[in-house]
Amino acid sequence: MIPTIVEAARQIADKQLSPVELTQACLDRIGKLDPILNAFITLTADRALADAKAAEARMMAGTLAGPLDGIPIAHKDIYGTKGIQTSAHSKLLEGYVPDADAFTVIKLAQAGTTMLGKLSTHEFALGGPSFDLPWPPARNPWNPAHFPAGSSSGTGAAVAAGLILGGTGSDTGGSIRGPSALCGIAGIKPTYGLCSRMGIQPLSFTLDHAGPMAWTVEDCAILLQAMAGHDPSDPASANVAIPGYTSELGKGLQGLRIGVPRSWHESDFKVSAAVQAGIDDAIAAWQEQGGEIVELTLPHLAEYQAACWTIMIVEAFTLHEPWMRSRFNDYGELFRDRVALGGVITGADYNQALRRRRELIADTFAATKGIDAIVTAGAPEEAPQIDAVPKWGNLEKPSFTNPFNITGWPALCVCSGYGEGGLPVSIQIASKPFTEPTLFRIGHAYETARSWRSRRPALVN
Amino acid sequence: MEPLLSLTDFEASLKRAGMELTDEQVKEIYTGWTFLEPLIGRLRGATTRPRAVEPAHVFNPLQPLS
Repeated sequence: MIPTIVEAARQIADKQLSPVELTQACLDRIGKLDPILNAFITLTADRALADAKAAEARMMAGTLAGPLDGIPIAHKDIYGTKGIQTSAHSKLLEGYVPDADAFTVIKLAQAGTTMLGKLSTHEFALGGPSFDLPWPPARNPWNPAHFPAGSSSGTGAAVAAGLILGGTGSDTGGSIRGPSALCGIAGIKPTYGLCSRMGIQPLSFTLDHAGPMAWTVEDCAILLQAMAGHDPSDPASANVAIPGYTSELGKGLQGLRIGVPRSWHESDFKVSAAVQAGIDDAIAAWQEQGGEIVELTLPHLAEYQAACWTIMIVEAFTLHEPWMRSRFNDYGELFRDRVALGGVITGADYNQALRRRRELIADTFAATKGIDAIVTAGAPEEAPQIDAVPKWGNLEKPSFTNPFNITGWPALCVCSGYGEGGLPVSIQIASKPFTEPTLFRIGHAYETARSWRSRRPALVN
Repeated sequence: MEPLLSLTDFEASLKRAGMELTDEQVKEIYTGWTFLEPLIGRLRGATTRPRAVEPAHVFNPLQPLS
């Protein structure tokens, strides 16, 4: 039985669970399953056991730092880690060892977590799934022939398989929420600026977000509590008071209004029957708990996609321009071909995308006046086969996640059942900036009303 | 619909951006352009506001270099 963070924290606080034994159990699962899943690029077993022993000493001394003390986690391999390779899953950074930890890595370490290693990503958080990089792509634990989505693919796979209890991701166009959706876990892209990006390999400065992924909504709230906070070294970091992210859990939904932009998932990009059933099921569960459902009209998904991709690949090209000129063939094909497009877009079109972004933010606020949250799909269908992911798929069809990178609103994916192929499907809930406690409340209300969390991938058993 | 930017002009744009690629690579990336160009067209046509209204880029003159 793999515990959630909440369950493990309670047992550690009661001295019923040894952090060392918990960490060793994760290491044992990694030894058994990671040769199939490729979730880890670097395993730091010695560091993890040292962290766990320190946590166990605090447990025995009654000086635990909080609910994350002794909890095994790992970081997406774009998070800088002092003395540990941070490769971005790329030949270009193979062997690169930072001399400092990312801000959020420090904060999670201060919370007492046990660090098991560094996790697979799409190359520089964009190019994947790739088979021409120094490390293979991560696989979906529900069926290893299938795609775990990306770019936080290793985190999605590792959490779903119980190799770790939680982990970090980053999200520029959907890279936390995509793997959370297809791997059947919970993941939140917080409000833009809530979590510092200092020390994390950037992709697109105006779209990049850092955030946590875990098995449950409540576990995500606990991880976000440790990760959030002002950092003057990130110019986008928000200097806001940090609320208690679990403070609204279990309070019911009386008085909350949840908007449903049906055109998004019924016509802009019609989702599978299982995904639609999940959205309908969540709506029913919320109504049973006193929530009010409101029909909503928002701009076409492609409007957000157009602004998101134009901004993203221009900013990515800006970051990578020297190597795109001098070391083009050292990148994997998917990354280099996608980012090369950013070198062709004109300055006028980039600025027009930024102007359009401000209009879309205004339109989204106007359409959601008096509404607390929005619900739509996390992904349009179950995970496809990993060798059947179209190279230009993100440009061919609109995305359910791009709108909230463009607006900067927090958005949370929650498992909403399983499709015909037995792989998970997901809803996505979004809310106004800096209202994460409400977002967690709504996600938790659905998650705990259903039994989807009782099932793990078959290979775990 | 034919892209507005021809393959020849696209290759010239890649070269201007500093990328000297094989013909095969240019053609492959051009496939992506055929999907991206309509999205950029959406941006150009989406707003009726004059371009001089509300410039997207503003800056804080007191912000230090981080």
